[in-house]
Amino acid sequence: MSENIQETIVELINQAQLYGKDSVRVQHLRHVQELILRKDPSLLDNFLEEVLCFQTDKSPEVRKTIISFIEEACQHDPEVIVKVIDSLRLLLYDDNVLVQKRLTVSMITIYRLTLKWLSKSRLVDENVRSMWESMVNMKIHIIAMLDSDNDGLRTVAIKFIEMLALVLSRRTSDSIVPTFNEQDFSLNLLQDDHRILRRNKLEQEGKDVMEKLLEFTLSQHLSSVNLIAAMGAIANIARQRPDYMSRVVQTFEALQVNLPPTLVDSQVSSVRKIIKLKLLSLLKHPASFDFQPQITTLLTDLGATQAEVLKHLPKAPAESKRKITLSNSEINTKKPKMTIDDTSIFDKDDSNSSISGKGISTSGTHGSTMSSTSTSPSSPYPQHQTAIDITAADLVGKLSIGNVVDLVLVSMFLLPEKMPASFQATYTPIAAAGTPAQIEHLARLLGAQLTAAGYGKGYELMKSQQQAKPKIDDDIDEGKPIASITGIERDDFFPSSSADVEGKPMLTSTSGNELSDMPSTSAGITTMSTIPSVQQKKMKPFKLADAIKPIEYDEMQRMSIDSFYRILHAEDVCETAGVGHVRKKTMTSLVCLSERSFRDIYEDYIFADVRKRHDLAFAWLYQEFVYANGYLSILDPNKRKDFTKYDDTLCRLLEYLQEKPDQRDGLFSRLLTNAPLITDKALLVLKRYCQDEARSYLGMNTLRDLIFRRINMREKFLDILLDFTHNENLPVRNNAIRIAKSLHEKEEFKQSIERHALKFLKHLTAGQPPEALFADDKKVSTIPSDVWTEDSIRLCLPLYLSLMPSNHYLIQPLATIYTAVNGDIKRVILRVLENPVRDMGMGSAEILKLVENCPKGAETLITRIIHILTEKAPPSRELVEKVRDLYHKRVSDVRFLIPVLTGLDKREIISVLPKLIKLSPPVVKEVFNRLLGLNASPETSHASPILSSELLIALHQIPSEECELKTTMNATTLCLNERSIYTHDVLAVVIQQLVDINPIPVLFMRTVLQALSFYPKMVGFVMNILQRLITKQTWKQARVWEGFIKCCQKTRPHSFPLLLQLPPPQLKHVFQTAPELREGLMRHLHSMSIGQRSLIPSSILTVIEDNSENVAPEIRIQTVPIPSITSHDQ
Amino acid sequence: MPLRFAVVCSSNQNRSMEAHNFMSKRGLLVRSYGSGQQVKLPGPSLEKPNVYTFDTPYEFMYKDLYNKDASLYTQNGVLHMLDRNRRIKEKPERFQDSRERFDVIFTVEERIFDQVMEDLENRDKRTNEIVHVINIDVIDNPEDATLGAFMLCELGQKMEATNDLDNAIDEILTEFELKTKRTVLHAVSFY
Repeated sequence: MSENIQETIVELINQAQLYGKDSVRVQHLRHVQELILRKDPSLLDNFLEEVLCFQTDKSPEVRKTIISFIEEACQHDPEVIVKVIDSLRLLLYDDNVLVQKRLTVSMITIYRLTLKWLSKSRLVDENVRSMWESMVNMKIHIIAMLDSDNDGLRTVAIKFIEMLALVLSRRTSDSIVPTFNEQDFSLNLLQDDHRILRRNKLEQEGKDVMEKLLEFTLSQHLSSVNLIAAMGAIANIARQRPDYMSRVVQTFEALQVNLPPTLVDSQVSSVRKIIKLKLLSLLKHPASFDFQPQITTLLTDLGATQAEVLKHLPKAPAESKRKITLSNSEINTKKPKMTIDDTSIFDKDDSNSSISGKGISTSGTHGSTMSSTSTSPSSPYPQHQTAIDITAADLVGKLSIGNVVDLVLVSMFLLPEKMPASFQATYTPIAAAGTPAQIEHLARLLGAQLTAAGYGKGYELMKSQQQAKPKIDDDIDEGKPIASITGIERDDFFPSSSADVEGKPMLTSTSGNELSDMPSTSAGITTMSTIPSVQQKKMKPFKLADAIKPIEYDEMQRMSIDSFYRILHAEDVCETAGVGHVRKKTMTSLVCLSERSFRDIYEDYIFADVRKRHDLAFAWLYQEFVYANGYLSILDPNKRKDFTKYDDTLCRLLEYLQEKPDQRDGLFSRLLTNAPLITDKALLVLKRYCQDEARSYLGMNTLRDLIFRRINMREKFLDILLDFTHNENLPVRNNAIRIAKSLHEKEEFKQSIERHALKFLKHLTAGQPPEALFADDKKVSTIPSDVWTEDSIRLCLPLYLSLMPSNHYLIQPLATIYTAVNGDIKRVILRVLENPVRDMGMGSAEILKLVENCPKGAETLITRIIHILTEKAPPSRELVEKVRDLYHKRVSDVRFLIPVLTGLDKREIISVLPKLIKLSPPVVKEVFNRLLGLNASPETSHASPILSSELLIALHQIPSEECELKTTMNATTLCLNERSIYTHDVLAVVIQQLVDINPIPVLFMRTVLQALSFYPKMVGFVMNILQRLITKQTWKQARVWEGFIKCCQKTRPHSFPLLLQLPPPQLKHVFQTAPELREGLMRHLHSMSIGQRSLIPSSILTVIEDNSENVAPEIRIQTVPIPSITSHDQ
Repeated sequence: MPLRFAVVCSSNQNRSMEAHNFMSKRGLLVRSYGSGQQVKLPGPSLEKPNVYTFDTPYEFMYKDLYNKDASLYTQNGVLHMLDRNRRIKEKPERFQDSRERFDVIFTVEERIFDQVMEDLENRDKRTNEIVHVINIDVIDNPEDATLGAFMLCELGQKMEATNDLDNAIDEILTEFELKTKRTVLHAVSFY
């Protein structure tokens, strides 16, 4: 069962939290209340917390329901009060008046319960103490509500005070307490030695609030509802605390003639109706017995009939008399009442009430006719007498017919134009004019008016006593009489009280007009010390300004900062509670509206853990933006847009993020891309960021993102980016170019980027570097600004060059510019050209076009371009075509052809060979490299159009008139030095072919000799060649013959058999040129066998042995080379 | 929370029921009561009214009177009234016997106002909740009852429309008095 209830409750609470409609949620909560408190109160502990959570609900109805829950819970178990006290306090200060009102109503019950519980409870711990403290504070707050602007609040405050006056006083035997309130707390229940509650203090407090209530009832600005409530309250109090009867009756008296002037007719009649109702109910009360004349008179004035009055007269006096008579039959029946007072019923505390009864009992018991004497001047004023009593008594004697007539005549002048509503309602024809009763009533009315106005005997007397009696400290004076207008006071310890008690029976016995000296003396003892002050405490209108004093500025500042810190530190709490967004919103709003101080704190806070809190920074920025835009117009509707704060915030955040060592989170970039507006200052920060070598990569990426996303500022960002493309710092520049290139691929950026690049290219034609290179933050530039240096030249180019591979067309303007710039710049351009041109490739139509239309002056550029293109790869056919065309038609510089040499055919190569070898040795070497494929990497190996052997042969065949022999010789040497290519096999082929040429090329023997020196093993082969030379009568060619001899010299002894085959004249010539050969040959002959020697012709032998030189001239003539023959042979 | 209204006349037949009917049709939360000792309905002559106890159902009274003199009670409208009443609730209720709580109690005669106030004063005070008791005189015949119901309803709607009745009621009543030239008695009591 309990399980079920529990589940139901959980379900209901959840639904109450979820569903939107207030009335439904209230229904759920009511149901919960019923289940817990009526069905299974043991569940209260379990669910109290959950239910209390609703105290902050946004619906006032729900909060009111919670209040009723709390009230019932407290009734069920007063210990709950300690737990709910904070909720109560919170709800008391609720924004909603209805909630405040509901709470105050509940507080009536709860406060009473608290007192009761405290008075019984032995255990008093800290919690209880602080709860009581809160309770006292709340009480003070509620009492102060009497001055509230809200009628309803005042009404419930009155009810609260009514409760206070009741619980903070003692119940007496003649209290008439409704059965329901039978168990309510009153001071009788309180022990003297209670730990928290001091009886005396509370009692005093009870009197004070009662006083306040009575004053309030008589105040002039009251609304009718308040007045009715207040009258109900004081009537209730009088019934339950008859001690106050006299004061209450007097208040009604004063009220009846002094109704608030603000009431309209119908309200006056309502109020009078209620006065009548209340007076009738008082009349029933036995304690009002002594006031019957006043009450009856008032009731008659209010239009009550005699029958009505009689119906309400209590039967009590008669009954009690009878009872007394019975119980005290042997005692004198003339003094019944007081005997009882004395003996049993009344305790000591109630001596006053008996006294108060005593003073007027004379008039009371014996009818209204006696009232005039009861206050006769002969008797000093009894202690309970008030200013009104005294004044009235004073006036009675003076109201002679003459005086009254005078008064009427005088006041004629003061009558208002129109009859006031209250008068109209109050007026009843005076039935018994001139009778003593009427005179006395009149005197009382006048007395009330005079006292209220501050005149009259009573008033002055009270005032003088008030002044005479200095105020004594409360603690000491606790039990002593306190001057007050009540005329009633309790005097537990006053010595005379016993005398009073003694005096009472006598007083009663000497009742009526036989008023003796006895009571007057007994009363006299007390009078001087106890006549209460008439000084009416003026109710000061509540002014907020009086109650509070302004907080010091510093204090305020400190408190606001402290609270801000608290919000900051509530991060975890808010996250777990799921109100993180609320916190964020609160903080950003605060920071946004605050002065500098919050911002610094907030910044520090964010930056302390920026990874986690960057969203706060973003939220803040947005808030600033919203504020700057004036969207929060409620704050300041006429505010102009002012972005300085926004700007400031953005820059500070950016600067911080910029400084951060770890940039991987990309927050800088995110902040910029997400910021609602990018200010100029923020742009500067971004520029600095990009300028930083280490950050430029991210910086440029950010710029790219911005260019893409912020279309309205695109131009600006693009300019910034492009400016960086000629930054001095290489990484920065490269990053910028990287981005620029990627953007260039997009159609929408193409034009502007190219335009910019071209602009900078054109700067090169100017006399000195452009300003743009040295813009703003580049003032530390190391580049001289007045002349072009390699550095400054290089800065203008990279963007352009990097764009060329994407747009080949760009090469045309470059060529044009190239022709216009000076030599230094040309050189630089040629040097930086390599990469872009290689990227473009030789297939590029634009390059071919450029080659075709080579502008004048751009030849070197084009050479360079072609060169670069062919460096690693064989030239394409188209390129070769174009170059060949150019060469033949316009530029007859052979160097032009070098790059495309491998693309030409053999014939062409051979035909330009003479020209080529005339170039400087390095170029020649390069030419051979190309032709021999020496530079070519293995993978791009290509077939050279000309074989290495063919090349060498061609060189040998270059006619001397086309090219000097020396040049040709050098060229062949260069070739031969490439030994990896010109192996002995190749050389053998070459030599073999050369030897077949007629005439034999001049350089032939030189080559043979060189080959021999490189490859000595070739000696056999060489011998064969020499053999052939002999058969070809080589001696006819002087140079070759010379070489032949040299060769023979070198190849001794292999050449000896060969020498023997020479015809004698030639042999002779050999010996003449190289004498050492003769001896060698001779030794050779000697070493030969006879048979062999016999084969040698004798003529030869003769030559060998003959040492004369007579044949020499002949031979010399014959060896003169004949050029015509050699050339002809080719 | 809607305000809880009560309308009290002497027999819970004509004036209070007319208002009950009217106000509940306008969406107000309303109950009706009589404050007299018995329920009195017009009889054949002034001296011989039909008297019932408060726990007699309207249905019974209807049948009873129908059987007594259908034409007379049709003519003077009593049957019509009872017919309406039995559609609203089963039987009349006596205010003094009810322990319902209200925010506003309307009475239609000063005598009834006094009875209501006196009864409220004599009840046990438990919750201290405030109740406004308002009297507007309405003569006890069908035409005036309709007129009175209309006024009460209008007043009730105005009250319902305010957020804080306690604070606004003075103003509402003053305005009402000015407009209708009728005297309004207004008092508060507490439960």
